[in-house]
Amino acid sequence: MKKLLLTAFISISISNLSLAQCCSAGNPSTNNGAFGLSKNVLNVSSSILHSYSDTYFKGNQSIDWNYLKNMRFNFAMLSLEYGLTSKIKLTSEMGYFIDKSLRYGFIDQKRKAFGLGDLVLGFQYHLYNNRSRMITISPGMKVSFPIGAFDQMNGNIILPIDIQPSSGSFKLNPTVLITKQFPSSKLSASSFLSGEFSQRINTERTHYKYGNLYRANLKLIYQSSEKLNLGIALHFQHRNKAENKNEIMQYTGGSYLDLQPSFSYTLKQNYTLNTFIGIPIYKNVNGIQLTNKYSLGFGISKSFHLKTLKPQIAPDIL
Amino acid sequence: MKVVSLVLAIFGLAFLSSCDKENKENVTTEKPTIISLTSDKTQIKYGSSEPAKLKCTASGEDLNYIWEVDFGDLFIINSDGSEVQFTASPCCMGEKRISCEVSNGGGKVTKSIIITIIE
Repeated sequence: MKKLLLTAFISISISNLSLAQCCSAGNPSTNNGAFGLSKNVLNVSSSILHSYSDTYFKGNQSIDWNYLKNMRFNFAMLSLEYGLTSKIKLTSEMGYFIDKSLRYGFIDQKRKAFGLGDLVLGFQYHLYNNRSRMITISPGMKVSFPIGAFDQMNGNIILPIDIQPSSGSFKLNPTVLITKQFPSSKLSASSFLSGEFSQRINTERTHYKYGNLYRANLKLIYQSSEKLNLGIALHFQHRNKAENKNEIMQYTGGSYLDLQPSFSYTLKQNYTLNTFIGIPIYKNVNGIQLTNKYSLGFGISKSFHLKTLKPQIAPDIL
Repeated sequence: MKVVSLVLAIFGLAFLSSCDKENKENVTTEKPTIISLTSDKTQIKYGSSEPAKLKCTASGEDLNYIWEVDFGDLFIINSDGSEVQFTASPCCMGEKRISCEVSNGGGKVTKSIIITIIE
């Protein structure tokens, strides 16, 4: 049973990705809303994320606007999670943009970037566990470090900030995960809340601050068998307007609601396959913006039980 | 005797060639100078309908041009990269500082111009 629950919640880890916004620098926002890792257990997961955007919105209506034809990215991510104690989990994420590109609609040209994104380090604390009500609450905190490429060029042009692989900014990301199981039921639920607060980028080139990002995710998971978990999630996110040179950029930010069906399948030797699709069902942007059409994710994860290292030399011979 | 003459001739040519190379290495490339950075418009509407055309005029040898703006889109429109077309999507309204960096073996210089994106 414990193993099943572990599998169920690990499966959340890639399926809560926030790819609703099409065009922002840095890693796709990850929720990492998983819990259930035991002490000394290391979970390694590798995933590929794909996002495609080709629809302009004005407010909550789609419009014909001929500027960017489309924007897409393929992002490879490696995540590590380690149960430091039975209550504290350490997390890290690093990713590489295999291809981050945009194509213009009014001129036959495209821009392409690739390279390392940001490094994300964090922890999650298992704060509350009510066994009778089967509810857990786990707050956490993550910090993003802009270690990747932020000055990529395309020919004689330094690429604009919004297509650079790295965000160029430190980010603080508080999170809360609430989980609920139901007695004698194969159904479980989780809610993941998070915020993202970016440091202003102060360089010769720009004085830019990403708008704050607030996210809420509600997910239901159904254990259809010992190995297969089916999930459906509603993912809401709201981003405030960005600022540049102390002026608010009016046509940035907005609210997005995605439906994210997902499933995970446990293979032999603790390997788990995860996959999800993100389908936008509501968008309301400030001004005119290119918005996401769909996103896909596929990942594989494996847990390792790390044994405590024992001294190799008997103390009495020292 | 012929062999000795041939060897001397080869060494002589090699010596002259190396002198010529040293002379070439001693010739320093002068740092480029940007004479002007101009735009046909100081203000453009967002979208693709009214691009601004910018020209960076510089003096010097073996010039390489690099263009930069934080938000907005630059497209090279001539063969040496000294002219670009600038447009922006709606996100990027406001003043944009566009920089032209010109470089060669002697160094690099940068000049900027402001173009305002309006609705």
